[in-house]
Amino acid sequence: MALPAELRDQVQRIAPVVLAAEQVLPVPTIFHSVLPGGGLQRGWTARVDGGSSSRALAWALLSTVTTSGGWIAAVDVPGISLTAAREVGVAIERVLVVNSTDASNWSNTIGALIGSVDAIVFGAPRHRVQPREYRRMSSRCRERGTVLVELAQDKKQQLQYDVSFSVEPVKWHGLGLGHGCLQARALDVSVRGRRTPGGGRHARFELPAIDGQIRCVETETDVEGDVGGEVDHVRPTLVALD
Amino acid sequence: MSAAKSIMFGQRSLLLTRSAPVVDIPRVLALWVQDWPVVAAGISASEPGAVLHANRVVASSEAARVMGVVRGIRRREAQARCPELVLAERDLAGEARAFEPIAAAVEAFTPRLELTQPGTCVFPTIGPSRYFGGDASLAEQILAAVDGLLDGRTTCHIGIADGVFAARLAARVRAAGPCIIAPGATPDFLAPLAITTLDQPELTTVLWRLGLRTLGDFADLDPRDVLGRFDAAGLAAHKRASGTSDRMVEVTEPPEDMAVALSLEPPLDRIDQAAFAARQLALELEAKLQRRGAACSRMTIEAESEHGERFVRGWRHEGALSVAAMTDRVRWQLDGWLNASPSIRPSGGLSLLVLRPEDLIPATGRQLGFWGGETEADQRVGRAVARLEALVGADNVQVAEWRGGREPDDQICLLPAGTVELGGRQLPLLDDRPWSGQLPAPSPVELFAGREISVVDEAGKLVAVSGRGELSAEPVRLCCDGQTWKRVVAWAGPWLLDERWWDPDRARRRARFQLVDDDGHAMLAYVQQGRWWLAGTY
Repeated sequence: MALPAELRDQVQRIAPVVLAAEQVLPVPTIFHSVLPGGGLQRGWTARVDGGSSSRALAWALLSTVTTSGGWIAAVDVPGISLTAAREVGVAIERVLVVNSTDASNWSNTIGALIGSVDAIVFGAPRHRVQPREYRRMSSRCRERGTVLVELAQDKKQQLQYDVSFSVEPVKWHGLGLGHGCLQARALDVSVRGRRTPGGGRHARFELPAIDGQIRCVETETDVEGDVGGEVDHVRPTLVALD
Repeated sequence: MSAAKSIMFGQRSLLLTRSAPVVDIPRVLALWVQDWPVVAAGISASEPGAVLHANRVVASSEAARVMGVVRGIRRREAQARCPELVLAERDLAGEARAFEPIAAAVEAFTPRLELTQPGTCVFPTIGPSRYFGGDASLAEQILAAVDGLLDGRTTCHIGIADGVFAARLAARVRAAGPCIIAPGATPDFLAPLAITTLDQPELTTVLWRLGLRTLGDFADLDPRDVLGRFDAAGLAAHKRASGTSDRMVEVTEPPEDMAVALSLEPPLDRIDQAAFAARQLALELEAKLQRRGAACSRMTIEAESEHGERFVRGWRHEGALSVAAMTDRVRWQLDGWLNASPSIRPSGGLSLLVLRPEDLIPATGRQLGFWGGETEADQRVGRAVARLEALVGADNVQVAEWRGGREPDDQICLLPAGTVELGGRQLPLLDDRPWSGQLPAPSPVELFAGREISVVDEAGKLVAVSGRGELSAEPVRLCCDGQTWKRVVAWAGPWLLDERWWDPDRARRRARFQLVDDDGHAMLAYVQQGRWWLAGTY
């Protein structure tokens, strides 16, 4: 039941001080080693890129939010597959799927969701998001504590994000030439952020592993501190299941 | 200062007298239009027709009742009893809109008209009765006015008795003329009626089992025993049954002006805008009432058009009006005003809306479940859904519902969020039901519909699958965008699927493949009618 306004003011006045670091959205333990502060800080903007598989990463990142009673919204995510989201642990009964219908509605749609849900995932907006529009949105997010996650199509990064995940390459296990079926996926993810000390961090996630669980296999931190540096990509290799 | 104080004390004393047991309850006229849902749905009285809600009959026409189509039976049963039955879905907004001319006609007799639901309205007769020459004369004049509007589509009944409860029952006697219960005779009128007329199933089933079959039996009990056994709600029911009070609960007048107002700029002239304004006002009023620990059972809706015309109408409810109930009533009323005949319709858009609570009852509140149930987060999302629905339309704000199926796009369907109770939902866990032919996890993360691809063999010929599920050759290269060709580094299939062959629209006969190209992109593709389609990417 909503608190009356006076009572809410009182609560705000007498509430103990909460440090920014304590206002984090819970994330699965596999992300603890790659995220500065061990979680997604409320009000952050995040970006995930690197093809379809990056969506699996985004869903996994937000899964604990939904299982602990929070809500997330997916705005304009074409071909959304909640089955896949469920497989990486998202409680899909608390996912709102919104279609903004029109470019002029887009920022109002996001605006209506900021402060109401804990995280907003948005894919390809129908128009180019202006830096001013984006800055206004991200400042409202900081104010209201909602995390904004962009599912990016390409690697080009025009806007400033608090944290960005870049997925490449993807390795598949279980499928051979004419036999088997896809069973496990290994993602090499580099995590960079405004607040990450030094360079980025790299990790290999299994989403899912052969046994159906999600886990983080290895983590390393860039010592050179070259934020913009590209990782040396290796070609994908396939490990056939014997 | 002292003047203000005395006013306050004056109201305090008023409050006390109001909450004391009311003995001389007001005389009330109730007007009931028979089978209103059926008439509003456009079904004439002579043809058999019924109105359904949630697959059950909620109202039926006279011709249908003769055939045995009564309230509460299922659609199929109704159609079995009367094959030529005309069916319509219940449309409360439409009923309210159609009722507006009748309400306006009755309003010519009294300024204190209250609607309880479309088709029924009540008002205290104390002033009008004296002015129009007694209860009988008043009722005759109202009947004449309303019958003129109804034009023989159905009949209208009037009951006059002490209190709203008795008056409404008197109207339902369906006498040829108005049913007027003499002052003081109301307890005798109520006594032989069935206990179920109280319309409080959880109470009346207990009373029935205790052997109390009529309102009179119940009224004969000692009020103290009723209070001891059935609490305040039981006592209120006892008072209604004995004709000494007609309220469900004790009512007080609002101690101050608690109206909420909304000025509309630009003026409101479309009903979809009205729905949004209605909800906003209802939420505001509820917050205001909640601060006093109160809820309201009767409210007045006032509107002012941009040309200064004023419209006022009261709505009454048994028990407390929830936000949804208030929203609905405001919406129906605005709909009624905006779509009324030109003579009574506002000449311009509505520029001011006021919602005024009339009767306050103590809010018993809602105890949230200890485990699960609706949380604060769910309520926040509910409010966001209401805003978004106004922005992008109800169909574009969706939540997931488990459906089950063999293909990734079958397993979960999306429903408009406004139609679902958002709090405390729980979808079944993974893999709870086996679907033979379903591909194992992981599922594709991005789905495609109607995207054709080419998958060719070493010779550059499209790979085909025979009717027996045999491959013409191994897939070697594929092309998704019509330009660049990729090498297939791993593949498996065909996994055949032939489902819903009995339904030509939804039938699927396809052979599915998993393919991985040399960039590491995994995809789910299928062959149907000799052509390759992309179903999703992993």
